[in-house]
Amino acid sequence: MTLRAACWLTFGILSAAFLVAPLALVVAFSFGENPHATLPFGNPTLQWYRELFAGDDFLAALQNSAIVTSCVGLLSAVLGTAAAFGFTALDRKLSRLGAQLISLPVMLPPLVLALALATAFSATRIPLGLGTVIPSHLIFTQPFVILIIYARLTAFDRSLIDSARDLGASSLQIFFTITLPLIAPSLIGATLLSMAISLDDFVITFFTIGGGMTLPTLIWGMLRTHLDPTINALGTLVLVLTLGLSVIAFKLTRYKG
Amino acid sequence: MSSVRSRDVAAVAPSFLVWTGFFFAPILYLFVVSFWSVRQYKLVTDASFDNYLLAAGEYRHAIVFTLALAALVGVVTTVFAFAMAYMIRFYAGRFGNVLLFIALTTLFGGYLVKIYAWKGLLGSTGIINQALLAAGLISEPISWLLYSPFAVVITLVHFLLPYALLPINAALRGVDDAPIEAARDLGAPPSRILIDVILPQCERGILTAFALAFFVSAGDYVTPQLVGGTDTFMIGNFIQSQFVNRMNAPVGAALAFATLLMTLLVVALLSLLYRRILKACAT
Amino acid sequence: MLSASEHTPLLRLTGISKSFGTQVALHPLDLSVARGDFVALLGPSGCGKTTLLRVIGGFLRSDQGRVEINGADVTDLGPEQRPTNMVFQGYGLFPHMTVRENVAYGLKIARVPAEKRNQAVGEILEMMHISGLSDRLPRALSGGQQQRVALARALVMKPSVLLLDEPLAALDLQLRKSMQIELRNLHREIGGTFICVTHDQGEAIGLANRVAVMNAGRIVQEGTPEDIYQRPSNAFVAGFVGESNILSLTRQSGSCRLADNIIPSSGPDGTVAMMIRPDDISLVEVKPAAEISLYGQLTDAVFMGDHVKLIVAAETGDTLTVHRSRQEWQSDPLESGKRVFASWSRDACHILEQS
Repeated sequence: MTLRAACWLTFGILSAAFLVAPLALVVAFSFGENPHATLPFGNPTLQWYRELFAGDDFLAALQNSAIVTSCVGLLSAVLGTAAAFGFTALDRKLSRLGAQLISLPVMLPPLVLALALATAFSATRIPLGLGTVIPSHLIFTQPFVILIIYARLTAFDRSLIDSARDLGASSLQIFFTITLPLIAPSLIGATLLSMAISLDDFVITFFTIGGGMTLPTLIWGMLRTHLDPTINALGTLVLVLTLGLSVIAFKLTRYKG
Repeated sequence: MSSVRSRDVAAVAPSFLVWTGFFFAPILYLFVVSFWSVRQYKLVTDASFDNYLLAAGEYRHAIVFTLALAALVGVVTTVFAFAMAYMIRFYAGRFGNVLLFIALTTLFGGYLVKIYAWKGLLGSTGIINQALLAAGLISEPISWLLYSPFAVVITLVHFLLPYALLPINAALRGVDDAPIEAARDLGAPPSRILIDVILPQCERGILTAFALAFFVSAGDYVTPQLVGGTDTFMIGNFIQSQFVNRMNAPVGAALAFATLLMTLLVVALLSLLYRRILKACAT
Repeated sequence: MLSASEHTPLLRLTGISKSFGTQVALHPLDLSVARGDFVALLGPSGCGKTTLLRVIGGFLRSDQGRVEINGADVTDLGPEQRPTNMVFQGYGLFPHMTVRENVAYGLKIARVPAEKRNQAVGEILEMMHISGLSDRLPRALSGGQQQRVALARALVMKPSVLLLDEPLAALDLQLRKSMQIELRNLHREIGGTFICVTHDQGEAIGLANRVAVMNAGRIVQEGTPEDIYQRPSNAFVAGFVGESNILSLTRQSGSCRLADNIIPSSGPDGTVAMMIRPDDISLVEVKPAAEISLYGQLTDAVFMGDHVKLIVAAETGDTLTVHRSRQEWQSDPLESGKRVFASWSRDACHILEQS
């Protein structure tokens, strides 16, 4: 190995550490007796998790997060898949414009989106709650599903559809025996990704949920009031859930960057 | 054919209904509100540029400071991400996949966790100060690590690095080996190959990465609020407080749109200048 | 006694035309295919051969014209309703199904009872020599094996017409040669009617008993491979099928002049082309009396493996390509630069009307 290559490799390892270390520390602290974010970690313990799970706030937030995440995942999957099929069939220019428009919410700073939604909800006197959080998440999760499924469909081998028709299958039979099984990994992956994004969202949720709490807003609450050591356990839980969903999603969609 | 078309339109319709109802209409409404005013905690329909004048006057420093800090985050993130992508493309081999995997998995998770992790790392009793003290490099904790612009920059860079890495990596992967080898064959040193061959072909990826990092930083308020301290008030904090504390949506909206406009201008300017900057570097 | 259906062609196309926007893919054309024929649609890319195949299969609706199979009008039927089956260019195997599931798919759709289905699938797998692969997924198969699966999947449906879209294009040279022989044998064995699209003239001639040469959306000649090769009806066919020398001549009152040769040819006055196959030309030092000959200089000799390709620059300004067998060349080589007569018999030249 040349000196140059060795330098670059060192840089690579350091940048990997930069990306991972902060998160790894949170996980490590969540299992250590030391209640402060300082070294040493202290003896291994599950004390913080026990305290976390004993709290009513946590259970309520967990429940809300579960509801929001699963609804957003399901709705994103259905709406996004339908839209992706539509885009594939529509005129190229039209579908490109459509995809760009529908992706706009992802480009905008979440704060602007959150305030627009909160202002609009208050003007229309729509009561805030999970019912407002779910569609608000949908607008920035559905673009991911649409883009992933659209990419899968445009890469879809047309001759498979032709083959199935040639062998006598109807449109509906083709959808269920050929198309759906083949896009299933992408579809599940896209759904899990939209769930990860929804589960992790703080800003939009904070402004559209009204009184309730989800896991991220609970973290926020803990950060604002006092340094509660259970926060590391909660943070670890959110990390495991969101990163876990992401990992499975990227494995399924075979996206490697 | 018309029946097919209507079926396809129907397939796209639900998504667009949600988009219209929960994105387009609220944003449009917020834009309209930015010309209104507030009297006794009630919105008053108005049509004045007062809010924007306020943005250009009283809040000018905040906006400029925010843009400068966001630009700094954008540049640092982009350069960092480019170096990583360069390393992945030319030196890493299989380790490159590991790096990409890390970036991908941490992309969509743990926004708040990442911010407070840095809070723990950078504090005066945090691990970094602990380590530096233990190593004898410093005799007392460095106080400016946390609650400072520095803390905001490092936290945002950490958060945005995966976002910037992906488009740049995609762009670098699209650069053929042949022109690079041809340049080497013609005697160009690595720095010239970078400027003459690689960077011009990565324009889109690099600009996308910068724009992403820049936009998100300029609009973020959680990071400055948690790790920025009292000196690092970014425009997001003002916007947020106009809405939440002062109940003045019109001023907040005007600040948001004014900042949005400025960020768009900066990115547009940069994309116009990209080639020229490269050319200037080349001579 | 022959029944009526054996007199009518199995497949009859009348006045088929197709345009994509302003691009004309097929000019109105007719084609009849008899039962048991192996027809090759031969032509360069973009000539409309694949469009024609897709019209026959029902994947494309022609703008005008009729498609009849077994005397029944199928013009308005989709591929799922036609008694045709297709082997697709990339094979179109369902990647999530095993070989057996792929082959059984059509029968399953047609609700053939499991027992009958399994028997039919087993038989066709046996016939295609892929019984041992029945539980594999397509991606675990070689190109040649995938080809067999695609054939089995189509043939198990017992189609009236089997359509093959560039069936050998994805295979490497060795495999292509052996698959070509196998396809011929298969056709003979099951006695079906095959229509195959190809851009490779060697493949068309080697596979089919009838060849339809296509160019720019028209069928420019149709006939047996021998017809096409030995009696091309125009310059395009002559140039596309096999190697040929094409000389431009002027015809005046029933004869053409080429240097000091006079070749009788009936037809209107004007420019015509004369085609001579390279293996019909011999190079001699003495001008032969009875033959047509051009004086010229040997400029190059290229060793091609089984034959040697000689280039002769004729005094008329024409360049002639001449083939000699390897043995012939080795026993009597000529030096480059040598002046020779290139000569050929009157039977060997074909006068082609300019189209």
